[in-house]
Amino acid sequence: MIETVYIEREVLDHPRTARVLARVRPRHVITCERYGEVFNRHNQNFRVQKAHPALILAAKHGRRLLPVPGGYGFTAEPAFYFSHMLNCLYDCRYCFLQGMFRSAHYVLFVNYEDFIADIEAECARSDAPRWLFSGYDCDSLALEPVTGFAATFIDACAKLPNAWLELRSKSTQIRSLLNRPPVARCVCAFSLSPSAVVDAFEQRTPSLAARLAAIKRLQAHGWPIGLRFDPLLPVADFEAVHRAFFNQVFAELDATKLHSVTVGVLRLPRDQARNIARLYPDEGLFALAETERDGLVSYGADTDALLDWCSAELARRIPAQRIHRQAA
Amino acid sequence: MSSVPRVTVICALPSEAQALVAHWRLNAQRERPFRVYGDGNLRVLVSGVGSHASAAAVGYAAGLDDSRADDIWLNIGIAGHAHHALGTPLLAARVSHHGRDLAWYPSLVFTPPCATSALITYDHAVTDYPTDACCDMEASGFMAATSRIASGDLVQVFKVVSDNAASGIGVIERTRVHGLMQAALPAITALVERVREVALRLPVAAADELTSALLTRWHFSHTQTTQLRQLLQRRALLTAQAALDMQTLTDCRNAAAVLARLRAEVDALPLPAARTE
Ligand code: SF4
Repeated sequence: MIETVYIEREVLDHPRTARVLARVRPRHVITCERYGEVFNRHNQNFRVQKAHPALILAAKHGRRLLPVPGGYGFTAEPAFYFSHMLNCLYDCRYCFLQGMFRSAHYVLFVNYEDFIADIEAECARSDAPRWLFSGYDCDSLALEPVTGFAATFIDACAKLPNAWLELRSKSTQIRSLLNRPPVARCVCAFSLSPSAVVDAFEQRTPSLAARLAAIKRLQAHGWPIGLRFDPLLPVADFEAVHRAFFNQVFAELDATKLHSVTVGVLRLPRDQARNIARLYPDEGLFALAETERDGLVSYGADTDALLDWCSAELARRIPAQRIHRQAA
Repeated sequence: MSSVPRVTVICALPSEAQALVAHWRLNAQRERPFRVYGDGNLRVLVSGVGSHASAAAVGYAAGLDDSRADDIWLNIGIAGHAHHALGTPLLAARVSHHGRDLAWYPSLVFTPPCATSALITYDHAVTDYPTDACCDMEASGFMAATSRIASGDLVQVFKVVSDNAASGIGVIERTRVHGLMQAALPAITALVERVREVALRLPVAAADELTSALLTRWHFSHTQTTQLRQLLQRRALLTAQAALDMQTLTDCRNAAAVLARLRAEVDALPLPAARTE
């Protein structure tokens, strides 16, 4: 439950602000000038705030659409990411957001129309397909009943013939997707992990079974589905745990209809890795052996071996060209 | 870190402090430059009136002991409000200084024990009350000073309405202030408890008895000591605190050899099965 909402003065009268407030019904509403006054101040602590985050409603200025970092996604076509929201309802222990921000409050940028104008401008630059990744600094669907994000952006992108949208989620908030016809150029991508990993490292997320049930419904409804086995964590009995996991996933889903599958190990920029380890000195994951490649830290003795093994296992179930390996 | 985070309360007036000192049974510890009352984990300072005095009291209190990451700082006192009833307790959600742009937003990372309000600090007593905020003479100085030394999530400003547009400031006198603070004690103690719960979420450094045993047996440089602590901490996490068999290290000729042996063991450890079942 969100008890406190901060609102930038600039968006006090924005219609989306009114809709969010009607839905959240906070006990405390506080006006601020800029969200940076409340969010990410130098002496805040992500772990402390995560237990009781507030929602901040703000306007996003400056660059809203950014080129994806190298090694992200699965396409050689121009690809961009955008963040209508900072931070996430869930509390995955490995999440890079906790190393990037000092604040765990949710920031929702309510000026969707400006994001959409930027997307339209980018897509107008040429006829070539443009991939648009959402859910980079948040989960695309987790707060859908409050934000209406997917409902708005799917419609906007569907009108642009060269726009391809990816929603990235661990959520089961799929009602808005089931209440409308599917869009061929919108991929609903779900991050999946073995149940043991969900229980131990993906706090507050829906169970694996619940996620699979949601994906199955979306697949039956006709939505293109992506599976993201990312991050793979080097748990004990890795192969046995993951073989059983892949069996469970592909027993539920129609592998022939999958749009794409990506595999990747946990990789964090050096500074973020250090910040997270400081926040959670009691977490075994960050006690694992570290390897650093191109400024990214990975955990566990031989991450390439995990990726090789999983890629081979998946290739037995789906065409190899649909499996994309994320840079380790 | 002690299991009970330390709380420092800054009050402007002796009459504001009195009810707290009596309730927590604090002892007078110092007279000058600020009156200080305290016991192990709680202390109350009387700063005097004004934002500069409040800031100075924070600086003075910070210098009394080594600072800790889980130190809690509270500014507690009286304030005016245009329409709230006398005695209404309010937690500041936004603090600013009249005529200046800067504002502070004390973290509401717990359920407040009372209503929240914006608060404006003035350099003088106010009779022309702002419509949507309470007003005092200290909080901005307190926030400015604590923002330099404390965890931002552990700083709060709590006020009791002592005057309003109907009463004017003529009603503020010592016994009355004492009575208002006394009546607000349930909200104040609830606030202290809740902020303490917040402070307890901060990570606590792990105990390392094993480190001392190894440090006595071999000579470790400063850097090697840090490496040793990190390795033992990692080992403890990945082995669910399994005891280290010192026999496996007896043939190590020096600290470097101990570190190499431990590193080889720890780097090969997977995430423990227990964490994932
Ligand atoms: S679902 Fe994604 S964004 Fe949310 S906490 Fe987990 S890793 Fe972070």
